[in-house]
Amino acid sequence: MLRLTLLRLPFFALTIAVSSVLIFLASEVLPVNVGRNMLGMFAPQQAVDALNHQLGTDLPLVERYGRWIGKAVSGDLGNSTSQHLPVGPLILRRAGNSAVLALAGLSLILPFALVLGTIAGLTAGRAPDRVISLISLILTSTPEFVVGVLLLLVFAVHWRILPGSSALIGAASPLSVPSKLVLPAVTLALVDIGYIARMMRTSMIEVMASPYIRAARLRGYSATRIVFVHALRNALVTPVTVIMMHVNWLIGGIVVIEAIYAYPGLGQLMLSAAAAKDVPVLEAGALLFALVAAITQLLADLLQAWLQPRLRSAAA
Amino acid sequence: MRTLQHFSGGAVPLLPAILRRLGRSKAGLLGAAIVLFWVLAALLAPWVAPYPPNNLVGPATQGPSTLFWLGTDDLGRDVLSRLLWGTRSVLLLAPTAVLIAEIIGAAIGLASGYLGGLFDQVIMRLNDALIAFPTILLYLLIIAALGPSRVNVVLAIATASIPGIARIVRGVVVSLRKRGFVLSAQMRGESLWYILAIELLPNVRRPLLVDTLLRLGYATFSIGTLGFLGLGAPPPDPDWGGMVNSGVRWLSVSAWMTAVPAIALASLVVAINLIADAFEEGARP
Repeated sequence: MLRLTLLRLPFFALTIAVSSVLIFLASEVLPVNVGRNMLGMFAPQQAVDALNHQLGTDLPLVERYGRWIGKAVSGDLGNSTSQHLPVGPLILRRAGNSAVLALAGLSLILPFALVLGTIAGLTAGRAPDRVISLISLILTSTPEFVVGVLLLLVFAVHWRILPGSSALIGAASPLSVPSKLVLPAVTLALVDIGYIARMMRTSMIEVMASPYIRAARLRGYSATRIVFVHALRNALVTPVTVIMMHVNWLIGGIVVIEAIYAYPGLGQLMLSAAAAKDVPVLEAGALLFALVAAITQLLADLLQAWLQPRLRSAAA
Repeated sequence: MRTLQHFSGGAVPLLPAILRRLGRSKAGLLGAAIVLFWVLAALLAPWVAPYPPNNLVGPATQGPSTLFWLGTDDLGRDVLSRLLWGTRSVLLLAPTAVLIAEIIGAAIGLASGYLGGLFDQVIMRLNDALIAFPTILLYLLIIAALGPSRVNVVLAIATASIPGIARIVRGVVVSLRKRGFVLSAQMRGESLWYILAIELLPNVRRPLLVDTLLRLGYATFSIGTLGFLGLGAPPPDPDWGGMVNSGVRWLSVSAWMTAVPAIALASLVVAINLIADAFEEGARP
């Protein structure tokens, strides 16, 4: 296990390096005069040049990358050019809100997806499976913003039982106003339940067709015992790692959902930073998202190897 | 059923057989019907749309009436006309992005898998690192850097799709590299291009076909999302995601201008995925 971890670490480092170069290049292509942007239209050219020099935005690309990554590693992410605040605390607070949304979503996704997927897998080809599979396909194919708009129409406009905007006053925590968390979390869950349920279904079908389950059947164990004691544990391996592997998908959903409900998370911060050409926030936010994605995928790799020992030797 | 001995050893159905099976899947047929409906809408938009899509033709935020079948938007433009014209945008951009990605991704995968060695190692490590990078961020960074436009939407979606395609193609090519037909081509002294294009490429057709269908659904999904985030085609030209974006703040006044393009987009993605699902089912050995 330790050996596998060590083997995976260089790839993890490479992923982070590639991501950081990508983020840096993309945001440095932005045709922005940072000094002009911060000082305004009517500032004298000398002041703009002086600020650009002070910020180092007039240095060659490679040197700027070195400076940026060096500072980022030591925890200095610079100042937001649109909000005039240090980027570090700003993105951490927003990332905390996004994490709350992700956890609320996952706490809905897991029970529903696993139960529905198990039922579909056990009744493969018959009516319950067909209904669940069709619903899953429709849910995974419906973009988050469509689900969001429909939920808003029903719960915020028609019935008026939930708030239409999840914007929070000042630095309030989303947990202090739980009603504002409901629609974002449900939207996130609806889109991903379908996907995870499909994984669970496939996994369950595979496990139920395996020789050890047939053996258990021949021994005359009850169906309940076979499903709960023998099949479920093995069938869970795929969906659990798939959920972690697809953290990218979850991040995509979170960014869109935050935009729909004006939920003050990292995704919304990055969208407004992109609109305001606020490069430090855009870079730091993207780096944090990429880091979270890479760490989760590393953990998923290791978890999968731990759950399925035969993969360990194959991978190592 | 006619089958063909597949390189992996199992018998897989030929394309006509897959299509016959597709025809027997009710879900697949439903998907095909919905896609056909939108393709017709796109083709016939200039003749069927009752008004020019960008013109202010009536009072704003109206519900459906005999004059405006699906109501009007916040500026007083006809929602039905904008919906029909918007179909052209998504039905043009999604296949273009996927086609570009499949061509470049297949080329990278073929070269990497066949040449092997250090070249393969470097390309595939970079490839995997790109796959690990969140797609939405790739979209956001590319479009923030280059500006929102139809061309950049295609570019962003194609870029995000290439690594996945390259990985699939490489996997197939690696399994074929040492097979007789490749070795004999090498022995005959065929050029690298001949071996890649004539000997290897035909063998990745099937995995690429299934992948293309799945990616078409996802590209349509992404184009809608980018439009909704204000990163898609710039106004005033009609774009489904963009229509939802500008309509969502009027939700409590009139839902039509928002709900109609939202449901249209969902129906198209669902339909494409129904076809992909039935196709995958039919292609299974």
